[in-house]
Amino acid sequence: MKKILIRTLETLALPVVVYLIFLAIIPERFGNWNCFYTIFLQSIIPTITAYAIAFGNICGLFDFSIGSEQIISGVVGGLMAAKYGVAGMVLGAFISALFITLLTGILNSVFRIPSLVLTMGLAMIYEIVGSKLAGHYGFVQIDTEHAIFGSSPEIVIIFIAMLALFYFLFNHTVFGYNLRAVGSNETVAKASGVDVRAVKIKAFFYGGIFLAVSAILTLCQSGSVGAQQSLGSVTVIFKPLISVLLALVLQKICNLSFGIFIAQFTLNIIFIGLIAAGLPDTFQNVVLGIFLLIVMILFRNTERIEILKSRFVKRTCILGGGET
Amino acid sequence: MNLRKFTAGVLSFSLAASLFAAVPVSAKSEAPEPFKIGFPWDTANTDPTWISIYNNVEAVVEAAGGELINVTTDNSADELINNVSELISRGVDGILLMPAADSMLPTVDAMCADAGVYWGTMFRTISDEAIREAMYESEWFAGGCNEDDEACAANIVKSMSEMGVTDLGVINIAKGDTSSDLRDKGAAQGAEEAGVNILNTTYDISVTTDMTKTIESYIAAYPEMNGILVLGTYCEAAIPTIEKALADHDKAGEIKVGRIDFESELGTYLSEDTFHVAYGGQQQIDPLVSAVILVNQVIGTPLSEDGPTNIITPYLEMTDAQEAEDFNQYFLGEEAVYNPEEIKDTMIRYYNEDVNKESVEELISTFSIADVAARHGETK
Repeated sequence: MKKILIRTLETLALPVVVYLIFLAIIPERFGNWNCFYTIFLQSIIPTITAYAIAFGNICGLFDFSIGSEQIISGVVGGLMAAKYGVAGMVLGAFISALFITLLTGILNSVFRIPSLVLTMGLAMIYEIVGSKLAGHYGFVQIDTEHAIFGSSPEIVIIFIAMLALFYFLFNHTVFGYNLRAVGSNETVAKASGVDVRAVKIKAFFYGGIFLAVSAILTLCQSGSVGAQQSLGSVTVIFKPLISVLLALVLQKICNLSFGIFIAQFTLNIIFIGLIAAGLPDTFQNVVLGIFLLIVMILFRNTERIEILKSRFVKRTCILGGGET
Repeated sequence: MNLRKFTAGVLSFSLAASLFAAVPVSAKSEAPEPFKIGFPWDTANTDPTWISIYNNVEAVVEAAGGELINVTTDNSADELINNVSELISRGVDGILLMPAADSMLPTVDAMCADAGVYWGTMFRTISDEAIREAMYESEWFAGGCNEDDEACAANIVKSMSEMGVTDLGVINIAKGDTSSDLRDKGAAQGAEEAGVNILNTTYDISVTTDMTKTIESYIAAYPEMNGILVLGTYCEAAIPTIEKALADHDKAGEIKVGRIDFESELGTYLSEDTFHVAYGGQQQIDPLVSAVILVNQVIGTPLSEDGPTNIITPYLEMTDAQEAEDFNQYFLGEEAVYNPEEIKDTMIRYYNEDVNKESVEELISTFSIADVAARHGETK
């Protein structure tokens, strides 16, 4: 129990410290509940997108096409919403997301080229498909009456359900164990009888569930989804990907499911904090980059840091002893 | 009877004389020598504005009897230089492009000079003094159009100030882009003159999720914010996304919203009084007049004899739903904002000797949404 408490405190230390820093700098803008609540709500969609990215990322796949797949799912959902209402939106988004992620998984399995190269090519193709589906104006809008999942409390309930689903799939299924086995050593996993190709296809497919949900929430929250071209859809991936990388580092002290959310929440504190501090957009990217590097360096080098710390303590003791 | 015959004769003579007088002495009915204009443009982009830009350039080239050759581009400096090289190898007589940066222009000019190809620009001014001077001395640079981005940004901030805006959240395209920098400068100047406080500016938003996030962050971080100004963005459905974010926070209508560059959904929000002012329309007239400058140069009848021609195209103001509807119909449709006959008669010197830089400037000074709607309405 004590161990769990310590780990929880250690995990929460990251967002709390970052929040306190901004609170100290701009208390008048950062010290209100609305600000905190906005940060929480803004973390939901990128967290669910990050869950979609995480499956592939854990087993060594890099999926560049997630943004374009999300757009197609959103566009199809939007088009179906116009005809069949909320049910059409949900169904359209799910069917298109699952179909396209399954297709990506199968192509990855068949072509046997690096996933980075394959998904980059597919992203370009999917972007054109999305544009064509979006029609003349290049975007699809839904009626406000259909945008029921974009605001609280619905979005919070969906988030909790997605967190639970990811936690279950990742920790309590054969797929989850196989996924980690493939991610840690593909050759050993194969030798142990794991069907690596099937695991990778499933990684894309299960990612599609979260992708569909993030597409629906994006559509409901923004009221529209716009097509992207010339790899513009790739920008959707960056912040969720950073949170996955941070969560993988935090895994020592925190389950990946919560780690992704904690990381995304922390990133959003920085994002809103810098806006509230009146800093320009370019500076925000610099700070996010530095933050990522610091956290990665600190967590990846814990042993070296411990050695340096013990050396420092030893030297201090010796010096202290000499003086007396 | 004699008087009647005499009167009829006089009238017939007057009518015949007036017919001759109406045709310029130098007007040519035959087309000029066949020519090709190269145009690097992203024709895969389905955005109606991007399509309308292509349509307006094409209308000018074809009205003058030429052929438009397109190469697909991402409009980056490197890609545009490759595009110029490709178009030259395809034997074009002139190239129209939207420069990504001043620094690429000397390279473009050198390539065109070697090949004996005229070139022109659209949408962009040349800010770098040394490059500008060198380009305006070039024999092969035909000139181009740009807008007074700075004045436009200053004016829209002042318009919003008159609507009661005191604290403004701003969104703009990426820094380093000539228009973006000028609009920033203009907005700062307008804000200073009108006593408006610019709270923050976020750049280079390209997807709706980031747009929502930025607006929500502004609302959370700046409770005093009472205006949002989009100086520019390449994000699809920017205004619907902003309006949705504002509505979700019960701020629609309370926070005044303005933008530079028109988009298709403005009419809905103007009629709901949740969107308040837009300046734009230059996205159609600028490429059209830029193409006019280049085509006249290529066919040997330049608009001005003393070097490259630079024309400042106007920004139009949109504040009501009817204007928005007309804009969607007449600016974003398949037709250009001037029809082929109008282009031929009033913008191509080969067909009408009276056409020159001043006459084109005078013509576009009356350009407005109502003007295009009236002219297109007549032809339908």
